[in-house]
Amino acid sequence: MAGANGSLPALGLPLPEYAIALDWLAVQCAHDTVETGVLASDARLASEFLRRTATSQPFDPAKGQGRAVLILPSATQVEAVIASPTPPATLLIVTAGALYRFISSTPMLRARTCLGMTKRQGYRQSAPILHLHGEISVLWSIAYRVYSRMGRDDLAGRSVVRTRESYLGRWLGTLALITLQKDV
Amino acid sequence: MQHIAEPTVEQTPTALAQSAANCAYWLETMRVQGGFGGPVVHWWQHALMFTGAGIDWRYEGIISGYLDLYRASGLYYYLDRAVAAANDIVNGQDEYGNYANSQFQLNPYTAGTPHEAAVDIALLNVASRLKAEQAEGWEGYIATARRSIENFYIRRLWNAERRCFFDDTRSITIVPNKVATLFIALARLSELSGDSRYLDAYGLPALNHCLSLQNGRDENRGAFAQYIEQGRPVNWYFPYYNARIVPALVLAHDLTGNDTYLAAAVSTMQFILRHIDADGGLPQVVYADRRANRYPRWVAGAGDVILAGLSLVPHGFAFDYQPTLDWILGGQLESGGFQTARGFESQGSQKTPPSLPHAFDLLPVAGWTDKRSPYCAGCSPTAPPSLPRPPAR
Repeated sequence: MAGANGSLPALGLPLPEYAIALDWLAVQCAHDTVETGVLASDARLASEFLRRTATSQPFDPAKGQGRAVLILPSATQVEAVIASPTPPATLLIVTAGALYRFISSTPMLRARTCLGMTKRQGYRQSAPILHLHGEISVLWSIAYRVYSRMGRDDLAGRSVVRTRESYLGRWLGTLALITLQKDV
Repeated sequence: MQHIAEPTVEQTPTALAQSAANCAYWLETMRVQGGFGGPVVHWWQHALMFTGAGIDWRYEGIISGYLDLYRASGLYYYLDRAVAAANDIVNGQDEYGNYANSQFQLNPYTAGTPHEAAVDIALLNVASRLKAEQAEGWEGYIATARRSIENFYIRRLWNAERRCFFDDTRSITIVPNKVATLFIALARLSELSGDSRYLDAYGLPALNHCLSLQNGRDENRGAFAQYIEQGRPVNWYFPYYNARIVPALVLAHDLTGNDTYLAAAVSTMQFILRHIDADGGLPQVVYADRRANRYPRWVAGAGDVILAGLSLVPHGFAFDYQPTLDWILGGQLESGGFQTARGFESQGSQKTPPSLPHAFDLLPVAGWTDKRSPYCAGCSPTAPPSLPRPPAR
């Protein structure tokens, strides 16, 4: 639901330079209309992106100023932002879910093209991801065993979740980036 | 339901009213086929693979928020939005009485608790409002809620021996905060249907069972354990989830006149207040041995803490909601949505979160943003004087 000037509903507020889109529909939408974009495989990578891009504009939560990104969790919002007079210079598309669904439900050619935006943007995160692939999952699974023996069911439960997330996000992210390395 | 004319409103809304209206607009941008969608982040797990419509507890806050805005502004737009949301629920109910994608962070699955009870509350609130407006069709919403409660909760989760609702069909786990949500649904259904059985035969016995398990001895006195497994409390105390119990206890007191419920509600609220930080936020969970997992601290979800405190104010309980309100408002994003939490980066550790937020902190979630709705109209001693005009339809 775009506002009268095509911006997000909270009218009159300047849009940030960076935006994050979720949902594969949003990915498609962004792919068709934004010149530059970044595809991240999971939230941890997105957070890393925040750190790097926000260095020139530090985020100050106490003052609520310097917010460098706006996360857009629906295709409607992405469309509204893109249609605005001052769309974000960069759109960050994030989550394992978005990546998984995009790759599995659309022709690979489109996925590669979308991923290609990553390289044009100069966003080089593939090496750390490849390096860390699997290791974090193993560490979390060890943590699960340690916490279970300690009787810390709360932390053990978190470790299981982190293990699962690490496996899924890193594995899919790595596959996507390998594709990117070969293709672009 | 068709409304054409809308009353003229002033264009100088209070900051609070503007914030509430921006949030309502943001929620509209979260609509997908079948209802309100989007990803979910949570303490237990995240739902990032599924971003479709979820008929879960998001509807409780979304609808009560729309109804609050309607009461405050008189704009039929907000009542229409509430009715549209209620129709999502009706359309999302299956033949067994369950709702589609009602598991929130576990979606896409059905039969989520307390989500389906929260959805029933939403339906019953709409029915109550429409009945008061002498509008047509309110009975249908009651019928839908009754189908959910009869077929799912009573038929599948009620345990006649324990006289309580379990969280699973094998009768292993009882979750007090979920029973509390269900109690409110049962009480509303009794009131609107005229059938006192829901309250007397199910609601009050279940609440009493949970009440017998309230902590009364250590520094966490007043708190309810997160769940009771095979009769033994698992002593994880989530201040947020305890906040969801307080309004149910107050309602039980108001309906029965039994002061035990009120005393229990006060005790639980005092537990929550003992843990509120100076900035208005709450730790995620505290344990019986005084340990705590502080992060993430909910931002939008803190609206339920305000709701809990305000439910006690008419009974003489002094509650300063301003720090928590400031905490929530400080998390409103340019889009109108609210950031979900602060400190996801430090989940599981006790390290101070870095100055830059984790992506999950900034991710607004429909099922958390709805929780801020109590402040729409409830916080101000007087209702917001005016609201910005909603977008043209």
